[in-house]
Amino acid sequence: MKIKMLKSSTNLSLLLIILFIIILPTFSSAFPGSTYSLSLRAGSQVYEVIYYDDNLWKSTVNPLSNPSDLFDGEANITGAKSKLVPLTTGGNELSEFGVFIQFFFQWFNIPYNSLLKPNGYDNEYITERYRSYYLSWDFEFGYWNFTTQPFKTNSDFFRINPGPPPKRVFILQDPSLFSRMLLDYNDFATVVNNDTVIQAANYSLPLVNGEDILWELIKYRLVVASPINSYLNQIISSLNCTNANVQGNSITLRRYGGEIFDVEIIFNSLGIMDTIQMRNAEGVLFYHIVSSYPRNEVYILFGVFCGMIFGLIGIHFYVKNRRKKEIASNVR
Amino acid sequence: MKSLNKSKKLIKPIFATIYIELKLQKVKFIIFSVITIILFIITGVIPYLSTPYFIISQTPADYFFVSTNFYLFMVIISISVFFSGIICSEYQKNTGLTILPLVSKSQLIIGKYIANSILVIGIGMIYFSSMAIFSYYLYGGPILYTIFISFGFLVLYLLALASITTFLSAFMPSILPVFATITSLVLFGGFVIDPVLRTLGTNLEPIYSVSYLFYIILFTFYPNFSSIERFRESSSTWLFPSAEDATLMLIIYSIGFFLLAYLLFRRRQL
Repeated sequence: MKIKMLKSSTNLSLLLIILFIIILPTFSSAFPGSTYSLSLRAGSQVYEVIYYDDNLWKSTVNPLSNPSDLFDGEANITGAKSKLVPLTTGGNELSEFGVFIQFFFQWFNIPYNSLLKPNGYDNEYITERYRSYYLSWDFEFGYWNFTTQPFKTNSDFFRINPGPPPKRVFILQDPSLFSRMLLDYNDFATVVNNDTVIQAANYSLPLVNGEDILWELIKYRLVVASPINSYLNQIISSLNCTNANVQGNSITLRRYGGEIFDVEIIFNSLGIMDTIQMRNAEGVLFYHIVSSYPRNEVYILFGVFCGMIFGLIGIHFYVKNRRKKEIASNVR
Repeated sequence: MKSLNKSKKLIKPIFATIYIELKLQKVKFIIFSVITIILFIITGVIPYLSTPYFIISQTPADYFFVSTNFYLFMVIISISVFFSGIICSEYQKNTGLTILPLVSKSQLIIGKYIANSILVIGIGMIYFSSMAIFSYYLYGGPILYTIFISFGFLVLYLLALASITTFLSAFMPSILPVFATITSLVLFGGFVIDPVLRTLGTNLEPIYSVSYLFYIILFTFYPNFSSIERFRESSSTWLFPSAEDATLMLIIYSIGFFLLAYLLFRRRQL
């Protein structure tokens, strides 16, 4: 009997170990050897502009701009809302050409197809000269620009006509590689700028520093891996940003417009931007975006529903017991 | 006043039958509701929430479309379970003998049909509500209004299938052959008749097919469904019926087969 029990418990432990080995990789999102992991999960996020001081913006950031230039749509109106819907995530490997196309050429509107490619600075050239590869995660999401109207059915970035495809963000598995990316790009820009044909076309590629990249990453809707604090610290040290600092899950970046201003971004546990605050040098807030999560309402609803079910079961048993007691007392 | 009393006398037994039937099928309903929720969680929730690597349909309409595709099996099973024995079990278990002296055959069949319809529509409502709530989780508000149009078609579809099953139950000896016939009719009916028609060289729209009619529920999730091309030239296939045709066919099936079932039931001896 004992041997039988021992055997069955050994079998059960073996089964559990096998199941654990099978299931574990499904839930793990870290690349082998990576210190960071992806925390993204499905579920929409709604941004809302809760405060905007137009005068302070104009005197601090730029007299000719407003928040719409940075955050799209009606981001310059208090109460305007925007929505982000995670659609897909996956693993990827970016070549240096991929990095140039996905990041630098997009950020700085560099005319790759009309100028660089025809003059020999194509995929082959870039891949031959810069042999770096970057392991990354990619994150595709539907995005509704800030609006004061109810959200449309389909996002503003929709694969099927009309409109551009969903937004796609690449998350570097190793944030220390941002420095390599920056060095390679600046080297490429120097080579291109020294080319007489490009000079004749009266065009030059911008040379950038770490702070420019960080600012572009923020505008690009930077998504970070976990642990968030360490990932953010790694980015700023890799890009050598002296005007940025990290505290907990937030990063503060000092920028220069008409005056000095600070942009503070708090990331949620998924690594997506949650709150954005902009303050002038005196610390006066002039722009504030917060997030809400429809999934929280679903959790509440689910809790209420479960409560109701348990309540009904309780009432059912109570009534049944009472009837039983009544019958018993009647019989007596 | 007299006619009012008369109609009250006629309707009261129907309500009594509905009440009894609802009570009798209560456990089945609870089991099916739980299975529906579990099925929804397996097909519509776990694939999106269990891992950081996920692929979510681009729009809520796509999400509803994909999730409801699986629901066809649940529709068939629930209809089969609730309606297969609606008439034949009366004979098999001789229950009709005890009830019929109190209620007429017409009152009995109407009452049972309404009660079971309420239950299967209730299960459908649970599924659609779960879908709407989870779509809110994934996509935020507002919930896509077309879910209500689609649910309307689901109700019509359930009633049509319920009438067909009631009709089968009226002349078949037991629950099992009814179950087998309705399942094969919905799942394989289209696969048998459609290729035959296609080999005859006709591009006839299979509006008669219950499996084809199911697609109206799926395509009405798209707000622009009336402008979607219904016939695919490249493969010579019909994707879904028009809203008008589907409504008409489903109503004809619902009323026609129910009347046939009623006539057969009246003629059948206990």
